[in-house]
Amino acid sequence: MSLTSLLLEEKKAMLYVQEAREKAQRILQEAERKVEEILRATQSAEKIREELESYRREVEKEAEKILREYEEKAEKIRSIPEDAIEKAAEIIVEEVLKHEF
Amino acid sequence: MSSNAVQALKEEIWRRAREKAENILKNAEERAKKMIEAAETKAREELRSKIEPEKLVLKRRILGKAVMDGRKAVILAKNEVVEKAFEKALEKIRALTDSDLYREFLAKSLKKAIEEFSDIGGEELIVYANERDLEFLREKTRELYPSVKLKFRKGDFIGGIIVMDSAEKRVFYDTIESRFEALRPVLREKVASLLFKGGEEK
Repeated sequence: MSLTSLLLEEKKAMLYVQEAREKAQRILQEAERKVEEILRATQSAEKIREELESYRREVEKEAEKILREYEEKAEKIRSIPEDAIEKAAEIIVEEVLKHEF
Repeated sequence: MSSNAVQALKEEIWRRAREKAENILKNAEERAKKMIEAAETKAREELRSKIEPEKLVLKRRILGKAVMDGRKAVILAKNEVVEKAFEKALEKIRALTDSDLYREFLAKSLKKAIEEFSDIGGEELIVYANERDLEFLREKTRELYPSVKLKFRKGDFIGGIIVMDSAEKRVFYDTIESRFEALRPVLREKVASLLFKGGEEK
């Protein structure tokens, strides 16, 4: 009686392990499917477009920064002191009136 | 076999079964995780090698344009400042017409014009000048070139003179405006290097 019940329990336990093996198999199959999907995505034109679009946005930010720096430089030039312009104007007058052609 | 012993054996059977099942699942999950990670790494590398040249072109195009636009903005700003200096210079010249510097220029200009036309004998020359300068030029002519026949006419320019023979075939230009234009390229460089130290960007 006891031996029979032990054998039955052993069989149940083996089935339990078998179920775990089947579940493991499903996990690996799902992983293989995902791997295929991931690798297929690299071939997709859409994926390439998305990557390039995201890179374009990144580079555009960098471009905006560059442009801002130049604009700041331009502003600094525009705010040159009036006396410097005055001095330059004096040089022009002198040259215009004194230059020998 | 006592019922306690049987119970103990049953528990042992289940403990081992659970341990084995757990290991099987754990191994499967770890393997699946590694497979996916490897695929992602491979995908990233493949994608990178595929789009890297396009990225480079994109970067050069976008940043190149930014640098070009930026330089243009700087050049425009420099031009504005240089033009401001030119405008100021013109204002100054307008205000300077009574000065020694201007009178000296006018006298020199008249002398040069007379020299230019020295080969035409006693023929009359026509001198155009700003109304304001006519009297000064007449005086200078009487004083320095009494034998030269000059007819003075009003000219519509800031300063300087235009002299021509009576047939109006030969012309000597020496107006303030023409001097400004002739000297503008050289003066632009000079003024830019003075104002911006590094000179004018091309």
